[in-house]
Amino acid sequence: MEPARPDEPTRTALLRRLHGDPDAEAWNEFCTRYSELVTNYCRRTGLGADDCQELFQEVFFALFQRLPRFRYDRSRGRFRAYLWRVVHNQAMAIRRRRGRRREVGGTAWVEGQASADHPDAIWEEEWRKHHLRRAVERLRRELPSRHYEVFRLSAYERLTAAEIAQRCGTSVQMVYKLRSQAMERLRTLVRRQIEEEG
Amino acid sequence: MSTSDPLLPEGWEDDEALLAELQSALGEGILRDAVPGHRLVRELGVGGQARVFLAERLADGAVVAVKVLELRMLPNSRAARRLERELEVLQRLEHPGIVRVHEGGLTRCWRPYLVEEYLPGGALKRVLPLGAPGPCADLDGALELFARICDAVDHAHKRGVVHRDLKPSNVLLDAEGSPKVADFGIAREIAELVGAVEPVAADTVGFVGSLAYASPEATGAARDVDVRSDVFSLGVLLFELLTGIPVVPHDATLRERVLALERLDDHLPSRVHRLRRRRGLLPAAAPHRLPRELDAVVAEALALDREERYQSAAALAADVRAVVDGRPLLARRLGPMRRAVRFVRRHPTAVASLALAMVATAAFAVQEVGRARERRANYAWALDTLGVLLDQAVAGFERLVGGEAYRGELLRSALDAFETMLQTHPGDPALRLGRARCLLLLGVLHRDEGDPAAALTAYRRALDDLRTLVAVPKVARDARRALSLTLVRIGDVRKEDGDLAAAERHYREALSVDQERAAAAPEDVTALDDLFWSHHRLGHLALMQEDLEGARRAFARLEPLADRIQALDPERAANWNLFFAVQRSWAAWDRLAGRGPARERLARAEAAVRRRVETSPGLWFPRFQLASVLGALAAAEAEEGLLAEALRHAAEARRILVELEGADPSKQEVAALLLRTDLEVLRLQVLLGTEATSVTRESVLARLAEDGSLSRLSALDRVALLGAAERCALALADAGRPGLGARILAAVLEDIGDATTEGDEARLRAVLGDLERRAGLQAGGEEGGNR
Repeated sequence: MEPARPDEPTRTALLRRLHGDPDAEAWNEFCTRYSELVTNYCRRTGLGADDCQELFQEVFFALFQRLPRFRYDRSRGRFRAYLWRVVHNQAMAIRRRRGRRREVGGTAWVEGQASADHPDAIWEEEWRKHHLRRAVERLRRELPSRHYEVFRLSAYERLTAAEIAQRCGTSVQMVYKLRSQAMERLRTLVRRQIEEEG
Repeated sequence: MSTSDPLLPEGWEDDEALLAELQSALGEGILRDAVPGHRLVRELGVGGQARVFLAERLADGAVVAVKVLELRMLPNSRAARRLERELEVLQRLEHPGIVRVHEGGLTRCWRPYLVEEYLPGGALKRVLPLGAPGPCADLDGALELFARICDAVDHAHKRGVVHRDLKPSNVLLDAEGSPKVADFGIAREIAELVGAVEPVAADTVGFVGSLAYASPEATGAARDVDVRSDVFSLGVLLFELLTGIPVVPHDATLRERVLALERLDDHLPSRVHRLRRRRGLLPAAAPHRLPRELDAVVAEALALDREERYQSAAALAADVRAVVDGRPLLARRLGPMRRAVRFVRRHPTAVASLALAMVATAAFAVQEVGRARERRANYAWALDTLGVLLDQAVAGFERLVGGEAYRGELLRSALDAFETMLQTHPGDPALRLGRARCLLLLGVLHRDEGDPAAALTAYRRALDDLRTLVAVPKVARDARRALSLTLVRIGDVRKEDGDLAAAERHYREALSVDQERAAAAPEDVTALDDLFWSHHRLGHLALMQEDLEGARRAFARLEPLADRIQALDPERAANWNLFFAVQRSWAAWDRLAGRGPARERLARAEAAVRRRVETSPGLWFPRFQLASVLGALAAAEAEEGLLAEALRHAAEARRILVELEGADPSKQEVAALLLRTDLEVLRLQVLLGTEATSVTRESVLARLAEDGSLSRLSALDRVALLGAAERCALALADAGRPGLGARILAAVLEDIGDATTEGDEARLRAVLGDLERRAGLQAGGEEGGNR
């Protein structure tokens, strides 16, 4: 196992730093890492844009209060489940409050389109995406830009190997090789992340 | 390929499946059709908060730029507001030098976006400095470009908008190379700025990138910004245009920035030329010579004091064009003397370093063979400057960012200067006193840095000089004060070492020095103040030794001294320290003596604070303090069953707080204490069976109904508030009104329940459940709890 890169503390290290003495930097990083996940989850569970912002702040406020007491312990359950519980509870609380406000005659809110999926299924899916985003971000920093470009064209633009080879001025075999290397590295990164944060 | 990797999500062993999921995870597919009516063509750039895309407007095929907030910034409502603000502002500004905005809104995933005109020339940053290929290739072209930027900024100013973030990356160029000012995200309306105090901490974050271009007032504590702050940023831009470097390096810390700006203010004339020469921009890269007048223009635009700056962007533009046309300038060329005087007046910190440099020169001049009269003048001047400097070292430098390090540097240099001068004037009392003061201050610094041994060495060296200097009439008065301070400081270090006897010896000697001083000059507030603290130190030392009588004697001297100082100098801010020290001292004494219930101590405190309120009725804090002491007193009285007194005191506290809140509704601590006091008053009224509960009840309920007002309280306030709510709810329930109690407790719990530990919250919920059950039993009760 390779050592973690110094510029990206591991999840566990982050939690340890948050534990007891939450410093602003660790917190900032924590927010940056999970905001997209949380935002997407909320959007898909049917909260409106304004609610979503409110929820986000509430979630991190709650985490901020609880995390110093929360000991990271792999055997006691995954961080994934823990974070979901907090997010889910806050979402329910917001929904309750929103209901009350509307009774009082509040303004119309921008409603999100609630997905038909069950919340925990949505969470699972968003969690997978979260890992992918993180891993790709890391991959982007690790790979030489030409190699990453091959991967990007293949993953985002869904170009064929021949098209990529043409666009990057290389051979089809090379494209296959680079792509497969990038995918393998991506899997390694994901594995490591999952080991860290569930 | 293995199929049973426990750490890899299902299906991700397969390249195709993983790629498919990747595409949906990364959201680019979503973004492509996310901006209504537009097709995003490619990414133009990523900023800190937003991404800019080249896009095609579907209706007419026009090429535009679309700025989309990064998804991760979405929870940051400030970032979203920036874009909103930019849309609002830009829609009002119509000027060829300001980027045009077409529309704005939310993408399908709620990212705020803006559609602006596409400017293919990129940012001005790319074509700096003067002489580089592009619109800044020749001087006249560069200055005209700059003047046009000023025109655009002036247009915004005339429409009441201050940009606040002018810098080369926020000026874009169109296809012809004409400048367009962009990014009005943190722009403010002038009307908003008048008298407004910005939330400083919040804004520092947004400031980081542009600190190099911000005016001194924009980064100062008050964040008091106006159109002249933009003029300053334009000045920085002009400087960079001419020299190729910003006035302040982009990675400078706030402190380095302060120093750089001060240096600049001192040396600006000729700096532009020097820098260009040093950077090889002159004369090789720019075939023309820079007109001397440009220095004056840059200097006036960059004046640290905005009163001395160009008062509008239009005036700056006019002078820049005057340089091009060879017309006379508006800018006043400051003579060196006027500049120096102005500089000294405005920049005590820079004066310090300036003074140091000058003192070194003077000390050197003293050594030189020269006319005696001149040497004497140099000596007197150097001494005087160093004295001022040391006073500043005592008073001023904490306020500076990085002040501690600077203070150390300053003191060590001053010490060197005194030593140097003592070589030519051996035994000179004024110089020896100066050296001793330096040593004393250095000692204090050492101690603050956690090096008591070094502190002690410095103090002792000071002491040697001071003990003899007190006998020299010329310096006796200052030497006595320094002696007293040094003795006290030595005592402090000794006390921390645990050598209480040595500490006491030094404190006593300091005390006798202070007593002499006070006797010699009965109206000398400084001497009285020192005397106060000597007594204070001796009293606490006695407490440490459990000498109650000694402590009582010392503490008994404190209050009369504080009163005398207050009478002599009522405006002195430090007086508050004295009165708090008196109270804290007696409280510590009481604790040790184990005497007197909390009620008596609080009653004493109340009397003391009340006197302060009477002597300074206009001040906010003493009144707030009185209210909180009254509240504590009421609680103590209630505990002893003195309900009527408790209610009287709580009601008075409430009255004060209502007045304070009326004067300034934004003070959270007042609102929090008022709610708590309301709850306490209500409880006492219920316990006493008073009829007049309805007013308090309505006040409590109205406060609780204000949405979210409690969530901004500090954790400590929240816990205290929960306690008050619980006590009040229980009292109401016992008085037969469980419904009202439940309502109050529920409202508080809902807003701030998570301030408690989980155990506490569970307990409070159980109490709430019980109250609700009891309320349910009271069929048809008036307060059914259907909030």
